Amino acid sequence: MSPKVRIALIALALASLAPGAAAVDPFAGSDDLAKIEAEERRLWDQAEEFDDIMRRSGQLYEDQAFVDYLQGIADRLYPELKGHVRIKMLKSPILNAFALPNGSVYVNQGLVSRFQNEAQLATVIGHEIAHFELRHGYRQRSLLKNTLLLRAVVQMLGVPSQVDIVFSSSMFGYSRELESEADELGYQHVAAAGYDVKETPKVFEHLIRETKTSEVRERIYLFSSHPKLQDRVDNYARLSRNAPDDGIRNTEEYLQRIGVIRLTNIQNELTMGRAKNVLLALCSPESLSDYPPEIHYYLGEAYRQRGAMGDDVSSEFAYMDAVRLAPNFAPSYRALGIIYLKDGAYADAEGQFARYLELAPEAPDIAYVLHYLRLAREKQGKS
Amino acid sequence: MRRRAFLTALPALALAGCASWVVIQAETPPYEDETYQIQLPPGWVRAMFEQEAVALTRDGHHLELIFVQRTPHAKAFKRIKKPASGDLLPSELAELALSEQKAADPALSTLVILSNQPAMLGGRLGFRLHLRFTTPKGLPMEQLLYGVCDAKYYYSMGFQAPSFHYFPTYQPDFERMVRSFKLLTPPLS
Repeated sequence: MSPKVRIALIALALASLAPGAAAVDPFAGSDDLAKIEAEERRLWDQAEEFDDIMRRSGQLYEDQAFVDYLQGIADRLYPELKGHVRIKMLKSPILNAFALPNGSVYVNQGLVSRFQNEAQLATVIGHEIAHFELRHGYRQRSLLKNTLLLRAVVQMLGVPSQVDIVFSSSMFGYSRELESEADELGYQHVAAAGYDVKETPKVFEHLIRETKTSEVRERIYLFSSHPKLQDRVDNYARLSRNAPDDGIRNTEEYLQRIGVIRLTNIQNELTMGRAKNVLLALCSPESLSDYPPEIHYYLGEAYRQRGAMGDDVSSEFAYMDAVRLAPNFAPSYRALGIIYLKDGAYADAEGQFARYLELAPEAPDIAYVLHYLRLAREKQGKS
Repeated sequence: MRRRAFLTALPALALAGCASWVVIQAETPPYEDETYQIQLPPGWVRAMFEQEAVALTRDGHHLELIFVQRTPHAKAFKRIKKPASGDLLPSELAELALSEQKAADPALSTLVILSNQPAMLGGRLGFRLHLRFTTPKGLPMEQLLYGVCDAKYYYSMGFQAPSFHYFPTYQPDFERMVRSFKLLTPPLS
């Protein structure tokens, strides 16, 4: 299927998510749960099935302390829904978050890693829970006029095939009207919980920057691709225009809590070849300072993977920074050794590989490094 | 989840059941195209493609799948938009192959590298990756992926099966097939 045909199909499918859903009362807790109609009950059951699939898939983040932290943010935002909303984090670097009709809210590791403070994360969680409270999954299901077409598009985009088509709205984004409703309600809850609402538009501004940068075909994915992402920025900017900026940001605690997650996410992004995303995340000295010193190695890896003009020099400098700032971090030596080996600087390469082997004698890639070390020695006429 | 990376590498036509199938016999001569030759494992069933790939299974591709593929350098790693090259070190080639796998399925967060090491393939130095992941329904799967480059092409040979029974049972068939791989192109300088 050609890219043009794909784009046309996506546009068609998204166009089928037309506004005009019938109004329903917001979800109001256990009493509502007992009274919901058969059709909505079916949605809930399917959402439960989806939860079960995700639980068994091994893709859920397992650090219970961090999941509890996320849950705490949700409960603070929507205390009236405590016990009905369950936050889960997926181990995926893709920028995404979505709420299911049963109150399960999924936030991806990639998204959590990109935020600067708790207020920004609360904005996204607040927005997603608003979709649940306003029962958007139920309201929009009747708008899916061409489910076969949409199913084809959903599968083409790599969305889990087990996910019933009714959840596609949760993942693609809802109609403009429903998204605006979620903005309004989410904003009210972020403000009521005492967060700094001036942070709310920044979340989406950052996402726009990042989705423009993405080098894999990702702009059409999930949260990062909500078709009217700019609308989110505009709505939150309008809502927060006259608000004071003295609310809670919780920057220090947030950065401390996501330290390991951020680094893991950078590693995952690099293994997926998303060098441009990593470079965007690490583009300034300030952003580098949020990470441990070995981040310079990963910066070097991102330059090397991108391979644009001058990136070879940038990567070498970054590896050298890593050696200077994190002298016991072995991979920087291997990276430099490979550069020197390819440049024919065999003595330098030998030194770097030898240091790598000293620091990481059990490394999983040891067979490669031993081979390269042997090659560097042979080239110098050593046995 | 979408079909795993190995499967996405294969032409959908065959997996949809539209291809014809041929049983490999003990006396079946080695498979040969213009740049390589390989002895396919007897007892396996081959899907006949028009494209430059060989796909084999015994009981169905969900249970065990072997593929051999030759790809021009420029198209070797389409998802991450990176070419292969005869100049790449084997660890660099393995890294690209791994990135391609992960990019094929962003949800592949359960992927674990069990080993990653150099391997001689057809007289040239390539890589051997041993991976494990869990399907969305919780089934542990394992993959072996070998790769090597000559001056024009990237060659990959893969085997994927459930960890229980199928992978250990048929791994020897796959390894024997890999050992029979011969490049018919001149050595890299």
